Amino acid sequence: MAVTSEIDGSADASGANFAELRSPSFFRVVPVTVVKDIRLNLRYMPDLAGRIAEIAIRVLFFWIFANAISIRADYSPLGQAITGRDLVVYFQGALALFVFNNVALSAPVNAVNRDLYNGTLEYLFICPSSRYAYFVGTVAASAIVSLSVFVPVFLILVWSSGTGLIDVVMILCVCLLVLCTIVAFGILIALMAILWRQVGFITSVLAILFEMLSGAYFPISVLPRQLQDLALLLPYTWGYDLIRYYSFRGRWTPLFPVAVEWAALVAFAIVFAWISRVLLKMAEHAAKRAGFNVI
Amino acid sequence: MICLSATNVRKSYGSRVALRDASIEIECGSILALLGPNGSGKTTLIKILATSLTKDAGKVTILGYNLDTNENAIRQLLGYVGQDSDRSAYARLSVRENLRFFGALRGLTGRQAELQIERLAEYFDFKEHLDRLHFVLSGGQKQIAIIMRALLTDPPIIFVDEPTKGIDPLAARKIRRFLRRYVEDHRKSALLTSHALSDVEEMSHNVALINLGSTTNCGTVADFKAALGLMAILELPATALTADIANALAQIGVRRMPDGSAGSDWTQFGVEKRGPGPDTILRLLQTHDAAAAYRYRPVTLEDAFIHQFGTLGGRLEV
Repeated sequence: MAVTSEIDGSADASGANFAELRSPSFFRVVPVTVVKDIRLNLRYMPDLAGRIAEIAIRVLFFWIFANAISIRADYSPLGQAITGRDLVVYFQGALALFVFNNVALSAPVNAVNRDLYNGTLEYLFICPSSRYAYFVGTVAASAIVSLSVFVPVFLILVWSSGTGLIDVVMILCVCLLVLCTIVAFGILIALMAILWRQVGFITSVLAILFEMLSGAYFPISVLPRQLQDLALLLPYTWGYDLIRYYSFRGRWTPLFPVAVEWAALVAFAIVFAWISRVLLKMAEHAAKRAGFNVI
Repeated sequence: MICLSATNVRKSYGSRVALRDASIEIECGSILALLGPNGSGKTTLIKILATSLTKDAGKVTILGYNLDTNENAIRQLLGYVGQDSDRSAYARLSVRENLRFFGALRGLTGRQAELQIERLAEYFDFKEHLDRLHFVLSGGQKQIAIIMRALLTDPPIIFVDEPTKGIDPLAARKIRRFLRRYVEDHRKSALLTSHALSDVEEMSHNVALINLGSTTNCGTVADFKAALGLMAILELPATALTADIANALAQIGVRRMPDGSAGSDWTQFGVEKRGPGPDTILRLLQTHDAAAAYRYRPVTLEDAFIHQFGTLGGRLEV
């Protein structure tokens, strides 16, 4: 056996000096988690097929729905008649964010549930690596899997609605930025899963609430004043608004100047990431007090 | 030299006290077995030392690092094998993929992990299983995979909680021998818990007893057995045992063991250190026509364990 006792600091033939091992960085943990999760996704084919089918059905539903109706000018938030094609444009933003939302909210909690099922959660928490990076990695993996199906479909949809290339790129940028903020929400829900285990229903309720409040299906201007204020605390609201601004090529009046909305999204991403990191540590501490085996 | 010291460790889950006052020390290069009945606090203590549980009070130092202030440094120094090897790795990843992933989380580069996996696989004679999915492995193979994970970074201290639980005797013996050999070959230290006292006897140098969350005496395996004060155990079939034989044996210092016949067709008698030799006992049995079936054997760790934790408080019946 060639494994030598490296605790005395001597390096072995591979150049490995385990006595000097350091905690892996955020940027090391994320890619290995992505690779691991994509492998796992590919080995649970029925689940993967279900995810793909869900996206396809959503896209089809939105397309049929949008083409089936039109809105008269006096009811239109744009102040002019909205055709079926306009509605496709309107809902394509909602559709994009729906998929991103699903990814970011569900991936961390799914990871916790999977780790509880596999019995790996406790071992993960005694590894000297960033748990936050681990959760970010699970989201990134889920995003890669979902978006590899969704993005081509989405691009066809956008192209068919007549949106220009730059606007499409801007829409995807908004989606990615919103994804960064939603990751924090996802990690917060994952924390609940660490502490209470079964939180799938909470995830669904939150996802629906976020979609309703933030203007996925109708403009927030139709909501009561208090709900409008609440909606402004959600990054989705700003995301949807920006997406529609780019989708309608100037025909959509944003809630605030576009630069302010971009800045708000960046601020949301930073603040939520910080909050979720702090809460993750608190949840870990609580779980270690209670014992992973008893939660 | 002491490489792990835990002093007055306390832990409660709500109102339930799991550890009242646990203290252990592990000498560098040795294996300490933590012995105690179910619910005595063994796993809680090992989880605290492995940083997967927080303690309420007490002091833990591992290779000079204080657990309260150097948790991550301590994580780099230890390998951990939990109780449930069946469910502590990703079922749909191969052994190699699991090991590469966990190696990365412990700071190994891909190349370092790959080299270490190959070496450990060679050491544990496990190469043919490296590319099989975890869930298709047998119980013993899963346990070896989990032990390999614990050894990936060549840690100086290894915590092993019930290493042969649910594993057939052949695989259990293989695992015992591998672990003991690894610790000795590589000058490692280990903390072991096990209800399989054959594990403890074959693997450990020292023993610490724990009951109701408190550790009591520590010492070598030989010390633990010697504390029983017996030279050997005599076993007689219950059908052949009469009151006359029991009285005659008692007169020469061979007394019935408390719980010695529980759940068995054989009754156990303890032969005290200054008691009669086997020839004297044989003659006595022959005079009572009871020499046809008897067993005379050395004291085992199981005898000492039952004596220590038996319902009669660990004293020989007089």
